[in-house]
Amino acid sequence: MGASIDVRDLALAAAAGDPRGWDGLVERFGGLVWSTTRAYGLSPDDGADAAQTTWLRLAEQLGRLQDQYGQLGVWLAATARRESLRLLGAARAAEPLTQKEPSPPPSSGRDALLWRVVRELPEHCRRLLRVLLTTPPPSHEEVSAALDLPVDGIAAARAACFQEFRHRMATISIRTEVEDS
Amino acid sequence: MQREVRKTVSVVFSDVAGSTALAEQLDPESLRRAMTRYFEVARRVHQRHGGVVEKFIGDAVMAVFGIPHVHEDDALRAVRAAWELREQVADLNHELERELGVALHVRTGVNTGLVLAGDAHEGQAFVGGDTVNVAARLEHVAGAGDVLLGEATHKLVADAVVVQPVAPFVPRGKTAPVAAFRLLEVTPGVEGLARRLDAPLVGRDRELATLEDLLDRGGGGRACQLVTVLGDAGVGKTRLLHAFAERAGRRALVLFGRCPADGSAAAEVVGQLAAQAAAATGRPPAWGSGWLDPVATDPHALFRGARRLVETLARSGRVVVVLDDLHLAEQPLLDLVEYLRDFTGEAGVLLVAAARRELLARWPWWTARAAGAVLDLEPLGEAEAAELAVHLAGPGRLPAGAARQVAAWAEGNPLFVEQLLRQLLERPDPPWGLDLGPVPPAVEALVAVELDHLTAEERTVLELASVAGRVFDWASVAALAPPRLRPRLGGVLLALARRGLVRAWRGQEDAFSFRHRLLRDAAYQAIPKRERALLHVRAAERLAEAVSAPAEDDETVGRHLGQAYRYLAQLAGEEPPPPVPAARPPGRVPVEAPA
Repeated sequence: MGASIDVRDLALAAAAGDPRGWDGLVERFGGLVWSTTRAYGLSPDDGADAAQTTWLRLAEQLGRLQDQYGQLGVWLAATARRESLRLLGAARAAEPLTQKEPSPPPSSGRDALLWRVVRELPEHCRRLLRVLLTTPPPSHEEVSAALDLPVDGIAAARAACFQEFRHRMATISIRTEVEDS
Repeated sequence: MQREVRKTVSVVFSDVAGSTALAEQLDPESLRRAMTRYFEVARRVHQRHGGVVEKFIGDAVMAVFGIPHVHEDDALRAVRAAWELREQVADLNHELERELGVALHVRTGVNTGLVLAGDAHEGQAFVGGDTVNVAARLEHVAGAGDVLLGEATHKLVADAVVVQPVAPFVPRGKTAPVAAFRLLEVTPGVEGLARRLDAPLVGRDRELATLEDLLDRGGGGRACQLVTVLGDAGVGKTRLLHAFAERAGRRALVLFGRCPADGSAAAEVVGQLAAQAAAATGRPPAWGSGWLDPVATDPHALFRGARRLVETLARSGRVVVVLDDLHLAEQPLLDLVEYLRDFTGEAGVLLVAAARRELLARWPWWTARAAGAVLDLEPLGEAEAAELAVHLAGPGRLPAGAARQVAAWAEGNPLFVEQLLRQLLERPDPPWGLDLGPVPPAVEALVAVELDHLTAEERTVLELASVAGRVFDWASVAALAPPRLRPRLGGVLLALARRGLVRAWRGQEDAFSFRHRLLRDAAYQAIPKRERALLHVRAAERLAEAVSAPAEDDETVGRHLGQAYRYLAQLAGEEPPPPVPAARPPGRVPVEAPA
């Protein structure tokens, strides 16, 4: 239901001091901001800091952004990206990211396989899918702002990453079929 | 195929306060005797209310309401059990004080929430998690002799209890505070959330006219007529019966029976009817000779007694016998209804039975002959549901568009309208025009009960269908089904349609649609995430492999793969939920003109 409401209306309401407007924006874009910071490989704590800073910037600048109210998602994604990169530090941001996440709980059998499918997907795919699969689904402009990719290339990149994911899942799906029968 | 399901249960967690001190007071043997008696009392109380004592942990007792089968009133059952346990322990204490000079002080926490449970048909293993932890924490902060309810539980029983809010507390390992309510009183014989039977009847003119017509036309060759009102949970059967009873009451004697939740007691229903008859006629219910023994062991005596009661009444005017919730009935009560219909000798008797559609799935023969005329109660149209929302909310409480929004969400189910409004109007600033928020717990419970009554196979097929979508075709489900299930798939889908969970969808060849969006969501949510991921991949594979796949399938393939990836990423711990922003604009912000 949330996706049908105009972002401009939410922004206007938020600027007018109506808490429902602000809450509506958080509901609409909370996932996008969060997944953007996570896509840059920040630890959960750093990611949370970057996300909080992004929202703080919006609260500070809401009055000055009136001409962008229709495109607040793009503004938020770009800001989240900038805050993430700032936290990572310019030097690290230029390098390929290495995952700095806690180890998973030990698992075995099919679960371990499934887990590996996700963890071993190429980094650029995980980053793209993480942002693309946010709820509600972001626009290509928003994804472009979050990941600094050309808008035109997103559909093809998405298709390639899904193809990669499908390919890796195929073996496990076949196993499942056998287990079930 | 997996048979683990996520389901909502209510957990009652009780512990004996100060048991260490007790151990010092008593010798081990006496202590053990006292505790054993307490455990026996606890087990008996919980069982009587439909709970299962899941385990004894030291001096603590954990009972679960909702396994192996959920009931829509599990939360109320749990609360009633907790309250009764408190009273029974007080009785036990009289004995213990007399015999051993000690008393037990029991603290209790009741909480409701999601758990992962194993197969109901295999003794249902049970995974505790957060729901159980919070129940245990509620118990821990309760005073001796107190019962503390968690917020979710309280919401489901609010109209049947008197509570006192206590200070929210933060359970260990959590960041958000948990609200808690001290139980002061439980009202017997009341539903957890009272139904609004005061709202005007909307959109049921045709059904009402049909019932009145049956009453006025009388016989039609039969002394006694039967009509069965069939409809989904919450669609308004009881409301319709009340409206009809009110109108019929001007020209007939109306008796109102309701099948008890355990379904067993035909005698109880006859007792209800006889008591009303006695009140209405001013004569004691002594037709015949002592037939009205509620524990009558001779079924024929009961049947005959009920028939003579109705016949006696019918001699002085028309009689309407209403039987609500007949889907809960076991065979003896259904037999009684059929018997009354066929054997009543006095003209002018109308039996009106109301039931959910599952009645037909449980007792297929009911349609064949016994049901008499059948009145199908469909959901309200959107305009009617909106009109109902306006009535329920009261004048001026719904802004423009809100009634429509609520009606659309409820898809024409009056109970869903009622529950959603209740939840929204409790908030100081309802989010009209925005996301209306979570599914009201009472609605969630109703939907859960519908799914819980399914056989393992029906449930599996419904879950597979939920992965395919709100609208799904036979072939998509077949592609997801394990091979052993495929030959029987058609039969199972039709059984689901018979239960009214899905219905034929005309827009597409051999397609079905879930009756309500919430049913689809509930079936989907019940699948563990790992299985959801695998099913989405299978759905995508099938679409991608189709030779002449239309272009729009690309989008669907992507959607399935996206869902699969998302669930796996969540399982791999890659997708923690977003933090709630601490920042807010400082009230109204000065808006600058665009440069």
